[in-house]
Amino acid sequence: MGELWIMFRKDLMDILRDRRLLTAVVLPLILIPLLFGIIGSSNHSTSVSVRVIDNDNGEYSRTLVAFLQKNGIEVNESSPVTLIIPAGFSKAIESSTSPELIIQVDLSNPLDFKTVRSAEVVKGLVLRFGSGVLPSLKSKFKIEVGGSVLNVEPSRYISSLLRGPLAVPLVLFVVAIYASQAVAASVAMEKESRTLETLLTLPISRRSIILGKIFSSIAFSVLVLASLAVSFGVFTRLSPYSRNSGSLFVSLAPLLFFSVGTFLLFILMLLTSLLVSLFTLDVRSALSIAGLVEVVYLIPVIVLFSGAGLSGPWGILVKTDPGYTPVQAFLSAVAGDYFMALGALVYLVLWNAMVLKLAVWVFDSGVLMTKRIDAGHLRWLVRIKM
Amino acid sequence: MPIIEVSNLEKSYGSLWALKGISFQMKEGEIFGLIGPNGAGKSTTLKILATLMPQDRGRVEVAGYDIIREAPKVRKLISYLPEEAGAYRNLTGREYLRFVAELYANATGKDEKEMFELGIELAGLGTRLDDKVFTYSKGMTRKLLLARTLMVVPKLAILDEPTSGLDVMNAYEIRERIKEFSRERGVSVLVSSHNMLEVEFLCDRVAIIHRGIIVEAGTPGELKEKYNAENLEEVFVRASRRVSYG
Ligand SMILES: Nc1ncnc2c1ncn2[C@@H]1O[C@H](COP(=O)(O)OP(=O)(O)OP(=O)(O)O)[C@@H](O)[C@H]1O
Ligand SMILES: [Mg+2]
Repeated sequence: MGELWIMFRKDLMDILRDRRLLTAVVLPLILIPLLFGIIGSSNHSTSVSVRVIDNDNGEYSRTLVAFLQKNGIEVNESSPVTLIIPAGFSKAIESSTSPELIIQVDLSNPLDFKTVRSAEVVKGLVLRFGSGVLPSLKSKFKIEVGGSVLNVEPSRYISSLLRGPLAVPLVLFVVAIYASQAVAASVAMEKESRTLETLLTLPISRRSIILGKIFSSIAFSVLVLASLAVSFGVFTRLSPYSRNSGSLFVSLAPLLFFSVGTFLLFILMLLTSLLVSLFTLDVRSALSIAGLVEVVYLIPVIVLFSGAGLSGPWGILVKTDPGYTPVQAFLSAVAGDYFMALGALVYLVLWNAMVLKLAVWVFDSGVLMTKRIDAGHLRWLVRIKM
Repeated sequence: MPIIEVSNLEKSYGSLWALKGISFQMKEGEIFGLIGPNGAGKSTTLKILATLMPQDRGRVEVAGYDIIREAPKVRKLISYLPEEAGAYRNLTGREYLRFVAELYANATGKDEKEMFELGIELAGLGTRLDDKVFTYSKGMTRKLLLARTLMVVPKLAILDEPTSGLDVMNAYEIRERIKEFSRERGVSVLVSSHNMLEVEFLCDRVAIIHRGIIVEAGTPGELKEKYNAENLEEVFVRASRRVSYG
């Protein structure tokens, strides 16, 4: 423990004082909105279906259903999205007294963003129908997940998840992005200032060197995040959802699995950034490379939040990405399959052990001394990403 | 028991064989000089001894410990000064010395304060010790690193061109210090150098290395006698020529 603490303090002091790490503070500010931009803008042509309960059976209700069908929506008895047309709907339109439609959404699990998307499409069409017939046409949402009911618009669903049950993983995720920038910089600084050679001959274990960097980077990013949160007043925005829209309840066990999984993924991301940045020659390329590592692990999250399905060879690839594993653990736990959920966490632990071992091997094998490998060349990939 | 025992050491960088089977022994408390022209393989030898990279073939032992299998034990006994090295740019010289002193104290149980104070004295940087390292000149950084290397009073100090970049005064002082250190505290010192004056002043024994092979070894006196030379410089040139031209 002693040597780890000594290493930790040195590294934290070193990175806190480095001005170039301002880049590390700025990059996530770009990356995070980018991520949510992708989530918000993606529009999938996957088939949308709806179950219709027509309690009105009047002229306008039939026109509405025909309108939906004409716009490519399949009317299907088993669809998780239900459109309830109340009795007296047609009459209300004729007398111009804003009738109300109910769109009920049954999510198979809290991360079933595909269904949320479908509901959003249906809502859009209902509004379009309304603008042609009666602009004050309203629709009300009921999103049901495992017993709890949420009265929010589908577009608000993700944010209400992130403010509520997913707040812990969200914070972890932001910390992880900062920390992986910091750890890459910390390694590159050892190379830039030519201290790595000396460090590797000091009486300290390789593991403590690596973990010292990981933990000091976490501490760094927590500090950065805290200061950002204070300066942007993020805390006031993250404060409990006050509007009367019901709250989403997800039971504790799946959340625990999700949080532990996210944490393990987070450590894996740091270890990978550290490993890759060992092969860069300066801080700037190390920071870019760390950004690339982040994206690789975040692909599954992006795909998932965008509501795309995870089938076919692509889906399999995404699912083997350790970035998907916390989600897998969560879904398995929601479904009550704790064995599988535990398996997912073990999968992540194995990844961590493997990358840590690889990093120790890189130190011991002397490849850093004998070979000139410059991962900085991969920077072009980062530019494409942007 | 010899402090260093090297036998048939070979090392390649890709297709280039930097060391082609060198063997030597170094006695405890001795100052041993490795001399040779540029690219001879001096730094390569020292890096292997400092546990930075494993050899391809041959055996290397430090104080009886195998350099690969027992690397952590070796690291507690040695202190290495690389040919080109720096200190943490954003730390002050004092913080850097304290960091290293803490690590050695933690690993070896030696007194941290004693090492730290010795380091401050050896560095001789005065009040500049409280400035960040990136404000130091090349020579100042070198002195800081030398102080860091010696202050832990290792069993074996491995110094790759210790006085490179230092002015005459500082180089002189450092040499005196190394010699004094070795005599008084029984520190064995393995040093590589281009400076024959330095080597002659400092070393009890020297080995001349050329193109990855040790071509001569002995005390400076023995070598001068053998080559009938005035000084080590002549020995060096003749011994290297003899190999180069057959
Ligand atoms: N990282 C490396 N990659 C490839 N070749 C290398 C590397 N390091 C050293 N070499 C080669 O190995 C040989 C020995 O190099 P080494 O650094 O040991 O020489 P040296 O005796 O220390 O020379 P100098 O007096 O210039 O410091 C040289 O031919 C050099 O080109
Ligand atoms: Mg050299």
